[in-house]
Amino acid sequence: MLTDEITLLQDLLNPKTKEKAFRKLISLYKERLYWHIRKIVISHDDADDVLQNTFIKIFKNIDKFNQDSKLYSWMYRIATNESITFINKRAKARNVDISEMGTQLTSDLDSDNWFSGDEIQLILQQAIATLPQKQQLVFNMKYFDELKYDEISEILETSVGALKASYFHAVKKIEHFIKNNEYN
Amino acid sequence: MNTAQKNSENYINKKVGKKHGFKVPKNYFETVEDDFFVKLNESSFPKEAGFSIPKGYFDSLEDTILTKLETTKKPTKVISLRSKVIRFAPFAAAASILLFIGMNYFTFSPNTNIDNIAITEVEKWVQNNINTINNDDLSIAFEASDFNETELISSSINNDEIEEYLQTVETSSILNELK
Repeated sequence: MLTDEITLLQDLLNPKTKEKAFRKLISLYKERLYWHIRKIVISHDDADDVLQNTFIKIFKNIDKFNQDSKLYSWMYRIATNESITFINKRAKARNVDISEMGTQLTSDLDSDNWFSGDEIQLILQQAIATLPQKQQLVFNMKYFDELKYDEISEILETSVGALKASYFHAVKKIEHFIKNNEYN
Repeated sequence: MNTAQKNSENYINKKVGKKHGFKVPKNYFETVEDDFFVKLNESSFPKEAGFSIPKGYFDSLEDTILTKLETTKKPTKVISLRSKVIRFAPFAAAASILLFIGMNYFTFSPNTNIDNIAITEVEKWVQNNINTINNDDLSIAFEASDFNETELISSSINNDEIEEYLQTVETSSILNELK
């Protein structure tokens, strides 16, 4: 862990400094975690909800944080789990399959106020939505967030070899999807 | 696998780039910390409001409402708009003529003076304009008048009436008036 991270963690574990330190922690990680969540749950309002819940979970469980891993990876993992739980719940409420859920979420993107992507960016999001959940996560983290395999491995608790295979399948399928769905 | 992967990755990068197209409302990230602490406080509140309902309340609710509707239902007479308009047209015409004459009378009548104004109109005016009248205006207006304070107290109020008033009026409003 970095020295800054260690100091911050000490402040987080001290009841007197916890609140102030937590405010700092949110400031440091809010954008990175938000964008990670947003790419999974798609809509801004849902991402906002999940982000808040993620920080609540972090706040309430900070004393259980295992200091062998990076604080950042641990928070990323909580954010991922919260997002997936959210999507699963939503799918259950709508009584649809989890893969169908992804397609439903991206189908309304072009009319979403908080999506300003052009046609090809929309196609890419629709392509990602067709992937199995693990591949979606790996693709977003590797392609957009540009995380390294060992970082992703720590967050998703999956071997680097398995991640590489997932990423390979993901990019092949996405390329194929774009070629089939491009209008121009 | 590596070359194939690189090719696909390059293809996606060239076609789409690294932008995902999602955006957030203006200033969204500035309030995340505050929003969090509000939610954190909320999360410690009990989820249950503590209210309870009689057993089977919701099961019989439809029947209760429908029964009430049945008893209050009265046959509704349908009157066509056309016949209504025809019936009231002469009255409307007469009313508009009267209104026109009336407006002219009150607007242009040279005889308007303070004695012609009904006392209720004056009271209404004072009530509506009470905020615009200040003490200086009042003292100027009443300088010439000669009256003593006892005239302001109506002797016709008897004890029973006062007692009744005190019983009906809310304590808080008395306190407010005494402030």
